Amino acid sequence: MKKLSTLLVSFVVFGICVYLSAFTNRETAKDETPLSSILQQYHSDLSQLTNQAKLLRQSAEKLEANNQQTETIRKEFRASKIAFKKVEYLAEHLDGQFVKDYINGAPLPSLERNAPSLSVLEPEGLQRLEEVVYEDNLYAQKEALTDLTEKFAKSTEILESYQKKYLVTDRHIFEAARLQVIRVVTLGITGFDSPVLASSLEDAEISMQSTYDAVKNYFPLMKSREERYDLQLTEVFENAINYLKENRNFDTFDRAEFIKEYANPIFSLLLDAHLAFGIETWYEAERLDIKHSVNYYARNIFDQDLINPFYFTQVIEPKFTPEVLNLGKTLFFDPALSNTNERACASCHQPSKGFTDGLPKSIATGFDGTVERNSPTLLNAVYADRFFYDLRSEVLELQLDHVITSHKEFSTNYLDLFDKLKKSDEYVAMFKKAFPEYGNEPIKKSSIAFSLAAYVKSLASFNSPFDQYIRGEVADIDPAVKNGFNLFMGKAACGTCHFAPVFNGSVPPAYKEIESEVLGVPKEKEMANFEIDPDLGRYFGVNKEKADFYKHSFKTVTVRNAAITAPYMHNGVYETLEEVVDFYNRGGGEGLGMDIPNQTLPFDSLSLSNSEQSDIVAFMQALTDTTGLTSIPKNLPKFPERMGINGRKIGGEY
Amino acid sequence: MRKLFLTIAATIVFYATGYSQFFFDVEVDTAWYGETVQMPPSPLKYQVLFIGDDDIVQTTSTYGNDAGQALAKQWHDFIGFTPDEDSDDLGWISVNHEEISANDSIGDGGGMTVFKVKRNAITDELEIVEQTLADGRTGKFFNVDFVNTVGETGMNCGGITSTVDGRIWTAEEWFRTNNASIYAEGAGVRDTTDWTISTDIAGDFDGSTIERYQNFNWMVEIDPREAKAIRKQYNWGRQGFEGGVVMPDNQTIYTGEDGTPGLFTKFVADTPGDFTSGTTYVYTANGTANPWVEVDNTSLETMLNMSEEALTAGAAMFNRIEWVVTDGEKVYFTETGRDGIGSAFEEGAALGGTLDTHWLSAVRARHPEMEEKPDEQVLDFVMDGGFNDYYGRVNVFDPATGEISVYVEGGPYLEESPEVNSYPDKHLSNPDGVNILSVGGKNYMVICEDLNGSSYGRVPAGVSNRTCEAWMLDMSVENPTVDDLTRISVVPVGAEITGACPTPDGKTLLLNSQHPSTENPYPYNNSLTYAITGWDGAITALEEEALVSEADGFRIFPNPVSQQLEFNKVIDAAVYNANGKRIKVARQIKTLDVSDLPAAVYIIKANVDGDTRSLKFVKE
Repeated sequence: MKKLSTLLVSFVVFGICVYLSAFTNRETAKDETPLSSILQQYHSDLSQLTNQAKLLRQSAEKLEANNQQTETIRKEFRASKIAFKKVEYLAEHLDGQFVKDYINGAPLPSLERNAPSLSVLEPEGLQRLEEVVYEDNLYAQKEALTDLTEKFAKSTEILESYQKKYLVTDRHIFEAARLQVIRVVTLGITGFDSPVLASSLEDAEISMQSTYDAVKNYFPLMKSREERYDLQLTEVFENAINYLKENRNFDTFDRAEFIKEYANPIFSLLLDAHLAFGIETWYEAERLDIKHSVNYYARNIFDQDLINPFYFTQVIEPKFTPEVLNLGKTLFFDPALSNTNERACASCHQPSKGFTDGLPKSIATGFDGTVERNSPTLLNAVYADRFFYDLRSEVLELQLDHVITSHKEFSTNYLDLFDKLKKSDEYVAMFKKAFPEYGNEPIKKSSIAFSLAAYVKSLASFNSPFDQYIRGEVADIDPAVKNGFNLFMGKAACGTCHFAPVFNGSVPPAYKEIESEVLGVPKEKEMANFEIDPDLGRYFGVNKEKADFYKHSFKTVTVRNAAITAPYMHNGVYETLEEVVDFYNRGGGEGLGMDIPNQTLPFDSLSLSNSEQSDIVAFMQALTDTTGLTSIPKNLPKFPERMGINGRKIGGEY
Repeated sequence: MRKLFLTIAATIVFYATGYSQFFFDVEVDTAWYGETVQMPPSPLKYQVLFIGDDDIVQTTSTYGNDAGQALAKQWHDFIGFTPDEDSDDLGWISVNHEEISANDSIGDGGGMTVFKVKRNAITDELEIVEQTLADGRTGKFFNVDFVNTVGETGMNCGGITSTVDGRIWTAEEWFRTNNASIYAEGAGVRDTTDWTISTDIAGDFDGSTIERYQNFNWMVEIDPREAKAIRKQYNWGRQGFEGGVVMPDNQTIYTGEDGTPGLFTKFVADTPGDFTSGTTYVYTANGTANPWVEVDNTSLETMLNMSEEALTAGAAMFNRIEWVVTDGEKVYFTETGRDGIGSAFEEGAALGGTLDTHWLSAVRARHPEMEEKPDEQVLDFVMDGGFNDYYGRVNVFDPATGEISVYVEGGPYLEESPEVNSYPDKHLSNPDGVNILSVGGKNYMVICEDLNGSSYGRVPAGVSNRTCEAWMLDMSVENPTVDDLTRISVVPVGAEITGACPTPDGKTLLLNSQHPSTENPYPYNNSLTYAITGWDGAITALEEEALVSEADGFRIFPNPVSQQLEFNKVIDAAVYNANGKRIKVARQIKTLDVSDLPAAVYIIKANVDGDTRSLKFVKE
């Protein structure tokens, strides 16, 4: 016990101010700290993964036409997956990009980053391997199998060599453990990374166990504290792991229970323990001026502040002032932004309709047909790194360009708009107040976009009946809602694209990147022979992403407030949530009998019963919350009388 | 306080070597998450000259719309400089816009903006001059008219400034293979009808009709004085061009292609200064004394299929050539590298492509086990896609010998991604833009990074931003390495640093911060052109008045500090503000970046070999 007591002394001495574990000299202190034990285990787990990947490759090489080797290959695959699940929490945290690219990325083609021309990368890693090794006639896939297992063996080697050399400190362990809890909730128990096998619950158990084993190393130090986080963590971790052990039916697994009783308590206890130790967080270890997408101090995965909205916009916290917000809100409802003074942002984003307009596609200016797509809700819209259904804008502020210039929308240009706004003394005064740093020229593209973005940022909706329930603020909820959530996150596979807690395509646990999907949405609701909607989506969104697999691919928008934002899909083809659920239940476009190359939705029916479908709808209906978000300005700034626009209608004529 | 410096020997040595190449301290610290441009300290001066989507350009009558104004396009890349020999003004600056967009006033596709500057006699700063052009346009910034001259351009990346007379070419990179890829559902180039070539270039070009996309991916000469395009250089081949250089003979032009395989080509004009007729050659590694093989540049068909024709002729294959530059004698070009070469070289070799010997040192620098292997095996290793060319390099071509060798290899190669505080102070990844600044008869190479990712040690562990830096290299250093580089600027989060264009008087270096994160504060949310002025004048060295503070053998300096605090030992450190709140922790460090702290007094507590030391320091 000598070593331990030395540690305790240093802990007490530095505990209040800064816990500086005795690893200053890493060589001699090797066996003395929780961290060194964790890393010893981690490094051995990494080697285990590398070895296992080699075994997988070797067994794949032996595959012959009689397919006798199939079972061995599947066994080695499964062992590889388990070996990865043991290192997942830390490997993902230290180098998520590498893990996504080579180890456990989605089994879909992707584009090479920053390439000199369009360069498609075929998927590799565990998820793609899983698809291949569970083919009926494996020998027919031998070439792919050999290639994938070879790449995987090489990738695990690289992973091991890079990861072993990281300078890992205590904060990394706590951070990794907490992010792993989000990963298990959003990507684990939902079946996200087990496309064929649905081994997700076992995988979740292994990764929770491995996380627990790491955290356990700090328990001797926790014993000295009154709060006894060691006892609390032991109880909740072991219960969580038992729960995952005992409930292995993917379709009936009670996810709400798991999140409320285990995941969220672990998530907050780990924060308490982390802070009680005085160990630094990522805020102290990195520059003070960088924006983090996840708020480390969030105590609950369904807290409104889990994801940092400032990460996604130009709006910086100190500039999110009442003056800026008020200006943004005024501009949002002012039809003076349009050429005809008849249309405002609120024309297509009406507060009473969840900031949509209730139409399949919005009316074009001059009633000249419609715009191209359905008007999406602005509630929680900020939580995305790219905008428009085709993902063509990198930031909220850039969306404005299209609206300002499109002949179907505001049909004007910035220079004319600046001239117009400058004629209103009231507007000039509002801009000056909101942007004193711009001096006498405060009306700029950046100030207009900034204030509108600030307004959209303010439209955060995270206090629905379901939120209150899952956070434990109310004890009970309609069993249909709870069952609907469990199906949404499990059997119905909604939660594998609409990620909790925003239920949009921003990928947890960093929520930095939003995804698009190919669903095969038809042109019309009822067709004798279904035809796909001709809109090519993302394929035409970004010039550098013109890859075939992005044809008909659309941004995954939030399901929150869906009850009040009908009709649905990028073309507004479905009028009710029931119709939407039916579409997914039938297997998307492929399920409707169309040939949809690159459909990213499962082709087969989800086999949801009528009552299951209606429970999913009940869950989505319980995600409605517009409290305090729907007020509109009482009046708009005055322009000189001669312009004749002071009678313009707040929110636009149509 | 110089004496105290000497007591901290290790650091002093480092500083001394770091500064000795320059007249004064121009080194800036890195900034992994900067939201603004990082600049060297005074006496250098910093100016933002031209902001995309904010400054207003004068446009010509386009697509039936009247001449007028528009907000400038974004994605500033190449910068060209054309001296004005006829007035006291300095000259014209030409800026590429790599952004492809439909625009009724500017024209569809990419584009360029030109403006004229003069130097303020007192402050030496640049001032933008108002001009009236021959076509009647008046203003400060002018859109270069491509639509009414040579047809739209696209993906205007690099380019050429003739060192002879400031003639400017813009390079159309990002190779296009069909009309759909330029149309972009009406968001790119909306007119995709066939294009009939009208040109004075020798060959069968004039009057020929090509598909619209085939009118992209050329080198295009412009007239910066009148803000209009002159001709597309159909006789240099259709390539994913990035850079090029006009040699002092005003007759020889070298160009590079951004591709894998990428070509290194040469054009020799029949008459100096007239680039409408001449001979086009491709560089090969054919093992003979003359590496240059001619490609028929009078045939449209051949020029349209340049890559295939060149590979068939035995073209040497490079891994993404970016900018090309000369010191008057030798030709330097960046090869930016790529994570996976894959089968790209094998496919090129199937046509006849070759590998030259510059690969030998590149591979051996990374793979010690290759040191003993015969050259052929090393080249085979590259050919098979075995060489993971993560970082790229700067190469040098010597026209006298016809050989290409590595000038500065990217790196140092890291087998791990170290944490921020133990990351090598100098690390070069994916060099892209390159240029040469001449000051006081000495040449300094400026190298701009465009990182291909944040993995493989290109940035420290845990940094998700691909931070791009500009470096300067004293070219009198023999066999330079990354350690000889001096960091002179860092662009904000998300941005690529481009442009790197010196003014001929050696006083100013022009740079672009291209496509930064739109979440940065204004104006750093837009692409912008900035100027760093004063390279010539500050000959007197800055007197360092750095104070050193000490507690029981633990020393910190300088104090007061503005950027980086240095220690005499490797420590774990915590920084507290005046209220006793801990705001920063860093482990296993010898330096600590404090540039993000507000100016105030702080306390640093350090764990030094198991003991705690506290010292006060002042952040300026």
